[in-house]
Amino acid sequence: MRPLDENETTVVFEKLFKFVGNNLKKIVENPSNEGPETEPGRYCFRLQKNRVYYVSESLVKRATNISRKNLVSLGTCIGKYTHAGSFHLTIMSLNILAANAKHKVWLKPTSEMSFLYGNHVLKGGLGRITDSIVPGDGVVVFSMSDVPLGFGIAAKSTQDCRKLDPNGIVVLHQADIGEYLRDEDEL
Amino acid sequence: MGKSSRKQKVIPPPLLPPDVPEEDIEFSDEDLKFVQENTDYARFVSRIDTTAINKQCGGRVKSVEEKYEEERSKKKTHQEENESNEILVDPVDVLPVKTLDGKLHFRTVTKKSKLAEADTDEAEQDILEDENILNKSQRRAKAKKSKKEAKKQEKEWPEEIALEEETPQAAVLAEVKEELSAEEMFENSKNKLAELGMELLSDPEANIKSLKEMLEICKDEDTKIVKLGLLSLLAVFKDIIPGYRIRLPTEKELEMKVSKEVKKTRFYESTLLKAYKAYLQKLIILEKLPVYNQVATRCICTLLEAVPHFNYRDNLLISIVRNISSPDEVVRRLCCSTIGSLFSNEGKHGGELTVQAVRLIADHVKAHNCQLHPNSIEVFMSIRFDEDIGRRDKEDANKKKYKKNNKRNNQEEQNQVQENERKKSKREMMSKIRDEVTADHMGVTYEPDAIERRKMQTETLSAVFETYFRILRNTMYSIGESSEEANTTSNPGAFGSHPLLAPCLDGLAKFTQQLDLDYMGDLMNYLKKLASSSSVSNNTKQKNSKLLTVSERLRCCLVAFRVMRSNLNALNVDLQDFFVQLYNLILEYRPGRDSGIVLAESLKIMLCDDRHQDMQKAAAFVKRLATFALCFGCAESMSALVTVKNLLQKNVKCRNLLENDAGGGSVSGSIAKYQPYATDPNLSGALATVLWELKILTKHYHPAISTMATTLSNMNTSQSQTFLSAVTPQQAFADFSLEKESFEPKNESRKLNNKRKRGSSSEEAQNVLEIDMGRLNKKLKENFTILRDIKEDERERMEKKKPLKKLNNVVKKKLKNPKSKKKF
Amino acid sequence: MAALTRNKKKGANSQTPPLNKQTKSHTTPPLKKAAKSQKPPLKKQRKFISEEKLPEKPEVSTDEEEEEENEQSDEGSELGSDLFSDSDEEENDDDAEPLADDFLDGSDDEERPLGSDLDSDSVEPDIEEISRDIDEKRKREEQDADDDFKINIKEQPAEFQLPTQKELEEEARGPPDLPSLQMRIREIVRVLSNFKDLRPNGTNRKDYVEQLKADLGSYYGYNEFLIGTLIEMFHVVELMELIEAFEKKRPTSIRTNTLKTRRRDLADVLLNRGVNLDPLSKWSKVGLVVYDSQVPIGATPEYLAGYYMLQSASSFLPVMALAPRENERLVDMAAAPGGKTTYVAALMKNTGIIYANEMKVPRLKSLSANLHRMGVTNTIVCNYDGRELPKVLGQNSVDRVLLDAPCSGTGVISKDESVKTSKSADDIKKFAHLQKQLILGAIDLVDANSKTGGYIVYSTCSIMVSENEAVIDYALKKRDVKLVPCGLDFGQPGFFRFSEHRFHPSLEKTRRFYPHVHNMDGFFVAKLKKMSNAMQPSATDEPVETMEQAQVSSDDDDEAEAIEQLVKPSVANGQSKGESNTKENKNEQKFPRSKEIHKGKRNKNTITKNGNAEEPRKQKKTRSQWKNEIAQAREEKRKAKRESAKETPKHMR
Repeated sequence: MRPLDENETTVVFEKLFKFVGNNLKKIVENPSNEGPETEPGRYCFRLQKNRVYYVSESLVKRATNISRKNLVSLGTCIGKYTHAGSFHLTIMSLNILAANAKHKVWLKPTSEMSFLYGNHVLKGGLGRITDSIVPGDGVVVFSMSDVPLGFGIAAKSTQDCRKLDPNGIVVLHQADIGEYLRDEDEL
Repeated sequence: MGKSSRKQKVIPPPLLPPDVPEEDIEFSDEDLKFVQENTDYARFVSRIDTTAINKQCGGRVKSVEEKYEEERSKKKTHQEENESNEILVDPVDVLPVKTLDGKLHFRTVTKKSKLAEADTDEAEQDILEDENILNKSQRRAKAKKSKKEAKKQEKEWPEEIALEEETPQAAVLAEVKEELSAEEMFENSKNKLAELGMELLSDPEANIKSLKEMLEICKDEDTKIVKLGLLSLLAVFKDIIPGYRIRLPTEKELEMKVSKEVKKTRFYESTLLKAYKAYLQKLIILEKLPVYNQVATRCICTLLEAVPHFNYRDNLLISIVRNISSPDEVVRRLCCSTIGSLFSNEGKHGGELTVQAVRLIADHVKAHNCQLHPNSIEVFMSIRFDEDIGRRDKEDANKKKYKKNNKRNNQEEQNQVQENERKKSKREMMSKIRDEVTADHMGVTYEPDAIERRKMQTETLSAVFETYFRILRNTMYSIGESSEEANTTSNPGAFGSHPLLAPCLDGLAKFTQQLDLDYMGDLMNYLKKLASSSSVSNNTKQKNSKLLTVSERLRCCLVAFRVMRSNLNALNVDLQDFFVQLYNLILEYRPGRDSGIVLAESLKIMLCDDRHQDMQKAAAFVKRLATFALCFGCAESMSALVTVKNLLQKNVKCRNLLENDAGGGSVSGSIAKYQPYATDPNLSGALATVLWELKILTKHYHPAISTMATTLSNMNTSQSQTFLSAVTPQQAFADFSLEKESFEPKNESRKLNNKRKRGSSSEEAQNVLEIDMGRLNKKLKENFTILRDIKEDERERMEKKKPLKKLNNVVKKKLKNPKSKKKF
Repeated sequence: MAALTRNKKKGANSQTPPLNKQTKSHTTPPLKKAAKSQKPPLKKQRKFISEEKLPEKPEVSTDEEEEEENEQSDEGSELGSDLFSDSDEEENDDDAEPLADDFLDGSDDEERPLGSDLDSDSVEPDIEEISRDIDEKRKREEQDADDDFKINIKEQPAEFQLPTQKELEEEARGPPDLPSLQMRIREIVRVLSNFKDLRPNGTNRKDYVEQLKADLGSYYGYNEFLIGTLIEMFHVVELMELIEAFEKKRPTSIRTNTLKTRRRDLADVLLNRGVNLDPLSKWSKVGLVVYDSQVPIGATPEYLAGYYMLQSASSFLPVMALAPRENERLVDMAAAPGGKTTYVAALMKNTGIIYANEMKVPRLKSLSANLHRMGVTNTIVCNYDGRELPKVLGQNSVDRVLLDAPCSGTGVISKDESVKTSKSADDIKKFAHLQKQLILGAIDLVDANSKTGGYIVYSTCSIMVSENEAVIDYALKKRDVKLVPCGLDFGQPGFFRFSEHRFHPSLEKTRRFYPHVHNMDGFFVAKLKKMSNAMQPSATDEPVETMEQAQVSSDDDDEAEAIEQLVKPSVANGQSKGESNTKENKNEQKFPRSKEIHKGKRNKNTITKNGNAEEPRKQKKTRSQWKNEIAQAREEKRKAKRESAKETPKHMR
């Protein structure tokens, strides 16, 4: 387990920023509530076995006496480095993203399942969408009852969505909570 | 007709006295004098009757002068007085002024009426002013031109002297002489004008030449004469200008042989046109001079309104637009009303003028960098698009190729227009027929075909929105630069910081249907920036005149929502940022300063009307509104409570705020603790807290509010209540702000600064509200977190069937939050 | 026709006992006993006959001779049976008594099989098929098993006999006759239920027990060892209930994740999805029990979003016993698949820190996946052997430890059948050894001086005493820890004396949970408080005991439990409490007996065991063909049970 180096940090932050915008500041600066101390300090990012974890500093302190090979995970895993060396957000980061999301999309109940099977979000399945989404933004996908279902990349801006036909793709699927069932091992 | 009028006119002087008895005396002595003059000039019949006419008007003039003299002596500027009259004046109507003759008659009548009650009519307003100024000129005239008048009219001397025999003093005599000479002079020119006018009207073709003479008279240096001239010319032109546009014959046409009549008409038209041109030029020149400003503009306006189809209308339009936001109220109103009427009845000029006017105004706004009077933008409100779009639909039916153009205008509009489009078209047909039959309404001949119209339509639209956008952008920049540079010295302009913003927002709200979807994004961004504007400079505490007021920002949010709402059925868009703004604005709201109505309205539209809120946001708003309800007058708090009720009824999950249930903090996502000062509702973690405010509000001195609070706090979490409250925040606000007067006298003062007065008015509220909200909030909050833990433990014990007396008592005492009936 | 007559004769055969009883039946009970005692030889001899003169006609003729006698014997039998029913009435009270006469003929059928399959192998084929379709009939009758049961009790007391060695061997040779097996089990249970009244003289208990073990083993498919230990632990009647309960599935239960939602909201959502559920029980605020559902309950969006966890009711218990506090340091020594860990995290509201340890690498995936799905952020997942943890995390370093020890899983037989056969005595020993090491490790982890904590909760899903009480007792001996109440107001107190073992009396503070009592998996929970960081137990017991109570009462959670212990009788909840009371008495009067049994057959018990150990092996090949038929019979039985179980909740709610 080690802190991220310079460009790793930038990469991770860029990914996060696409989803949470300026709330990234909050993510980094929020006081953490994990940890036994009364003042657990902040959150920090740690790299362990090419996975990036978002974890309270006090947990990091206490994880130090666990040998690297025996340490499986700590805090929240937000993403991992692929063999190609590129960084991907994993579905496990959903909680953080959903809490701070800048761009949201709500799905009609009918289209929830199709998204949970890894399909893109179509205009037809769109229940609601935040304005001022531009293509390429990170979008967090919710169900109509505000259950976070996953996240993806906006394919169309909010404006274009109006003219889009029902089968047009609005959000490109990146990750969804269905993966907890579909491929638990990749997580 | 000239003859007939003559016969009548000999008699009038005797007839008149009964009308206005108190004027009789002076009228009578003048009468003598005039009679003598008449004897001199008896042979000219026409002269007689004109003078008779002048007699009357002169007599009137005198009387009115004195009235105004008194008034002037009372309050220095008669301008206000005029304006005060002007205000009541309704836009000029052309009808009463048929002929000079008729006009005169009309004046007599209306002048009496004017003296009686203050309702007047543009026409004789002109005259009144002329004569006011004329009085000034008389005084000046005395000294200046005594000599030349003397030698010019030496033949009048004898009568004069003979007349003034009984007055021995030379000085007085001189005075009177000059007086009379000036008077005389004026009379002459007036008579001349009247005469010429009469002739023209009686037979334009015959004596079209006399136009020139009249113009000549207008060259006179005596302002009064000039004005009279202008006005009479106005009347003349309004009457004789044909219902078609005159095209001067080309050389070729000129040399080719034509019949006598044609030559005659050609000549007539050309002269008319020349004269008209000259007249306009004169007007436009004069319009620049302060003295003539009003008259000139009035002429221009009347002309443009009467004959918008005729040549040189562009020049008219230009000059009008130049004055559209003149500091002079009268002028401004004139111009605005004119342009308004231009927009509202396009039939006359077939819409081209609308386009031009809008263009011109746009440029004007641009030129003046948006520092104009609101009126200048408000005129846009009277532009009509529906009829045009109805047309376009008809075309869509047969020609497909205009699809793309239609895309640019949005579909909902067309749909709604669709159904009444049929009857519209019928009405157009009928109007067209009528137009052809009635020659006075010439619009039809210039009616361009539909494609033309649509082009103009789009032009107009783009111009309008360009203007709006410019205004928005300008406001934005002004805010931007003013917020970074501390000095507010960059002049706010004569019309306050953002004169055009309000009408601009209104316009946007009105024309949102026509707004092209492509612009929607930019519009939203602008509104967003504006709405969020002063949150930038909040951290820098300096009060900045350039910053938008809370109400203005609320308006921005409202417009944004209206725009969205009107296109909402396509896509349900969640205007997060505006909610954030509203969330913060609620804190910035100050009862005295900002209009509660706007707030109530935004509560209604943004919170109550929105179909679907996400839980976090709704909870945050509920919490904040409850806090808000604590610290303002009953009107505000009532509207707030109504909104809270609505929210709670709509999303059940938020009712968890009503119960002191453990786990709220963790349920509220990553934020474990409620942050009262969070700027983003989604990050406030409101679900971690409870609505303790309701408990206090139940003790509110106002019965209605306390009952409301109790009903709210009794609202249990079971799904049962699905009914929605009928009353809207606006209604609530209205009712209670009305009731404030009736309810308690001290409410008024309380309204101004709420807390202390409020406290005095109610003991319960006092002990709470003396403390400032922040500390109170914190204190109660931690108190409640503790209590929640206690409650939690107590629950566990209850499950183990073990009552703990002490804790129970504490809990009982401290919180009465309803527990969920259904033990899920 | 022939069949009918045969049938008659068979009936006659079986009726012979009543005949020669008939004379004495009018006389005194002792005579009846004598008659009983005489009966076996008669029976035997008849079999000898049948064996000797297998092919010969005369055998039939002899039958016919007997036939006449049988005519009047019937009434006699009736009278006798009436008498018996009266006589029985005192000991086992059943209201079916008036019906006795009507059931007589039914009872005839009951008896035939004895005869029938006795000679089924020997006598000519037609008899076999007769007996077979008689069997069919009885299968049908098994549906109303209980009435039959009573009838048999009423009917057969007189002539029921343990099968002899020979019979057993024959039975072993032929395909097993499930009904007869079941009936014999009932019989034996009845007899054992009050042995001193019903024991036939000359028989001793252990034969019955042995027979019962054998029958249960073959009928339900338990291996020798397991059934043996069960019999030692439970009174026979209860044992039957337990075993039957093992055949049923437990209802699916889910736990609301209070980190993300509340039970009420979750219930609403699921109800809208067509899930039919109820609050789990009054002792849980977060549990829901799912009866049936249109959607896969493990794949709803809410499940995927971590709003709830599929979790057996029993696994709530250790966490509730642990009662973690916010901002504490916790260790879950065997965390996978994370049901308990996430529950702990939810109770701590993601504060403090949880070391979630899991030894088995393949289970780590699901563990961390579940943690993330449930939104748990205060956990460090590590992969150690639990015994190393004190070295890794440091001794006396945490506030509470949850040790859900790996175990034989004898409590969750209903979940996995294999346990019935797979687990052997030395498996249990291995587990017990591991568990002892683990619990010492757990104790070493805990800091006795922790302000809020200092507790260890030990739990297994096994009902073996050697995996539970024995382990705790060991811990009490090895470390300075005391048992404290679990804070669970139900469940049965643990054994503090079992067979030859004598445990620390405070062991009755531990809790046992049984399928047949609490309708949840067999489970064991014990909560320990670490008194000092010393490595050896404190010398004095009682003062510490009291001191601990005092200390506990300072900590208000446990104060709750402590007081609650005191007031327990008053607030005892109906059935479970009552049962546990009676259970205790049972234990009291049972243990000595079971012990003396041990005394009696300890040595030969082992012999028989290894005797039996190879016995099944050599029978394997012969039995192989009917093994599966047993299996399927058991299957359909279980199905029936499950259906009935399905109904019950419906009209419960």
